[in-house]
Amino acid sequence: MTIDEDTVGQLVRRLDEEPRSASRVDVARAMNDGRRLRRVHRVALPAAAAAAVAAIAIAVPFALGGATGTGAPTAAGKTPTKTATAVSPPVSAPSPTAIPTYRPTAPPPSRAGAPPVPASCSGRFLPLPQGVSAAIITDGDSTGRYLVGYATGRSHSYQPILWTDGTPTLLDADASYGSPVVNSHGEVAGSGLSVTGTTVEWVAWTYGDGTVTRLLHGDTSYMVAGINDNGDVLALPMPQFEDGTQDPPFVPLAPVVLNGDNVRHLDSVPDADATDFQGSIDNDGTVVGGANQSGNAYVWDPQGHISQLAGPSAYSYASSIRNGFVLGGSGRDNPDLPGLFLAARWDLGTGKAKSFHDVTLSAAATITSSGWFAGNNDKGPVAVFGDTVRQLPRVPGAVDWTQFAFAATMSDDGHIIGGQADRTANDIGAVEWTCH
Amino acid sequence: MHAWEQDYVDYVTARTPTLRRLGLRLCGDEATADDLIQQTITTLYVRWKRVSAVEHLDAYVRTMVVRAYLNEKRRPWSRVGRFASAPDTSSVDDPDVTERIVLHAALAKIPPRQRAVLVLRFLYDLPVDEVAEMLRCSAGTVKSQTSRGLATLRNILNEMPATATENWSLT
Repeated sequence: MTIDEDTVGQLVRRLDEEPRSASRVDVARAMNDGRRLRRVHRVALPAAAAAAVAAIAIAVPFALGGATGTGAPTAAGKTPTKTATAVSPPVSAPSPTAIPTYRPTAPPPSRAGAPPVPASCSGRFLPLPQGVSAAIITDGDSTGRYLVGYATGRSHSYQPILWTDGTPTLLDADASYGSPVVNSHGEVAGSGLSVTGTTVEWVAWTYGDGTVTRLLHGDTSYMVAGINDNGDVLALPMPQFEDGTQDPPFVPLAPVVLNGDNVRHLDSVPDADATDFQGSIDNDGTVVGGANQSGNAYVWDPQGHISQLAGPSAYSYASSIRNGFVLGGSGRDNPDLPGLFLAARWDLGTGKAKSFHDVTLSAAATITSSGWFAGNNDKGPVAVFGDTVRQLPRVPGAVDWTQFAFAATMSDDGHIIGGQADRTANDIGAVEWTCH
Repeated sequence: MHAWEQDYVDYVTARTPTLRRLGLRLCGDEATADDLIQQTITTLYVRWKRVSAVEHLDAYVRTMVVRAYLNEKRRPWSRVGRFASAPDTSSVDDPDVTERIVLHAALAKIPPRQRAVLVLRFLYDLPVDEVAEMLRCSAGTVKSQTSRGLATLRNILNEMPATATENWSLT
C-alpha cells in the first residue's frame, strides 16, 4: 500500500464524524472548578493535586499574623516546633497603579567574572528511592551538590526527594502543593495540603539535618515559594479551606520571608492572587515573583518595597533570582498566541532585560550567579551559557526526547544541570547532566 | 453571574459541539474527548477575562485543546488505558463504521504529536506554519512529523488484515 499526502487526507477525512454519545461536557462544572483552580498555585502543580483542590472550596477567610496558638499536627504527624510573633510590621500595600517601575538605585554591582563555559556535557537518569517509579526535579542549589524534586507516577505520592551528590533521600513530608526548593546547605522547603475532617489547610515545612519541621506561626499556615542560602524562606500566608461548595474567597498576595521565628512582611499586591504566586529569594533578601496569570513581574527590595520589572513584553513573569540576575518569561505581545512565554533575563544592576526567542522555560527553571540557565528549544533541552545556547545531549535510555525532556536547574559553575525526561512510556525520570 | 461569565457561557455553549468533534479526532474515543474538552473549558474560564477579546478566539481555543491533548499524553498515568475502552460495535456490520474503527485503531497507534499534525493538517487543512505555531515548533518539524506520521500510518495499515482496508483502493 502506498500512502501519500492526498491519500492520508482521504483517510483521515473519513473520521470526520460527529460524537454519537451524549455530551458529558458540563459548563457549570467547568466554572466551579475554574473558580477554585484560580486559587491553585504554579504551573508545575501536580495533576492529582489539582483534581483534589477542584473537589474542595475555601470558605474561611484568614488574617495575616494571627495570634500565637497551638498548631495542628503536620501532614506527617509531627508537632509544630515553631510558634512565633511577627517581628516586622506589615509593609504598606500600594495600590496597583502606585507600584513603580523598577529602577536601579545603585551602580551595578561588581560581579566576579563568569566561569569558563563548559565544553561538553553528558546526561544520566538519577537513581530513585526504593519504591518510587518516577520523579520530577523542581530545584537545584548553586553548588550543584543538591537537587530536589518529588515522587510522581503511579504512586502519586508527591513525597519530596533530595539528591545529595546524586544519592536520593525520600523525605517524610508532602510536596503536593508548591514545588520543593533547596539551598546550598541542603536545606529543603516545600508545602502540601492536609485534610482533617472537613478542614483543609496548607502545610509548609523545612528539612535540614535529617528533620522535617513544620512552618507555622500562630494559626498562619504557608505555601512555600523559595529559599536562599541564609535559610530565608519565601512564603505566602494561606487560609484554611473548609470543605464545601462555596466559592473561595480572594487571597491577596502578601508575601513574607521566614527565618526561624522571624517573619518579614513584604509589600502586598491587593489585586493579585496569592495562590497563583511563583517567586524566588536572593541571598541579599531581594525577592522576585508574581501571579502567573497577571502577566506582571515584581521585585521586592530587601526592605520589602515593591516595584515592577519592565519588559521585554507587556506580559512577563519572574520566577528565579540569583546575584541580581532574574529569570522569567516574556509573553509575546500578541495575546492571540496563548501560553507562548519565552525565556527572559533581567539584570537588576542595569535594569535591562533580554529575551531569548528560541528558548522556553520549565516551571522549575533557575538562574545562576552569572545569569546562566537551562531550558528548551524545539530540539530538546538546552543550556544557556551567557548568550550562547547549547543543545544538551540525549540521555541514554530516554524516550520521546524532543517532546518530553526538559532542562531546568543549573549550578553556578554550569557543571550540574537538572531536569527530567521520560525513561519509559509510563514513567518520568529525574535527569542530571554533568558538564566540564 | 457577572457579565463576563455570561459571555463565557454563551461562547462555550455554542462551541461545545465543535470542540467535542476536535477532541474526538485527536483522542479517538468520545469519553476521553469529553474529558479533554472539560479540562480545556475549565482552563478557558480561568483565563477568560484576559483572552476573550482576542481577535481569533476560536483558533486560540483550538490551540488550547491541542496543547492540552499533548500535555495529557505526556502524563504517565494517562497512557494507561487511554484507548482501552471498547469501541462502539453496535453497528459493526455497517462498512462505514468498521472502516472508522479500523482508522481510529490505526491513528491510536501513532505517537500523539504525529497524530495531532495529521489531524490538523489533513482534517482541518491548516497550513504548516499555523500548525507549527500551535505545537510550538518549527515548520520543518511539522513537515518531518507529517512524514513520520505518514510512514507510521502506512506501516500500521499494511499490518492490518486485507479485509479491513480492501474498500479503500489504496494500492
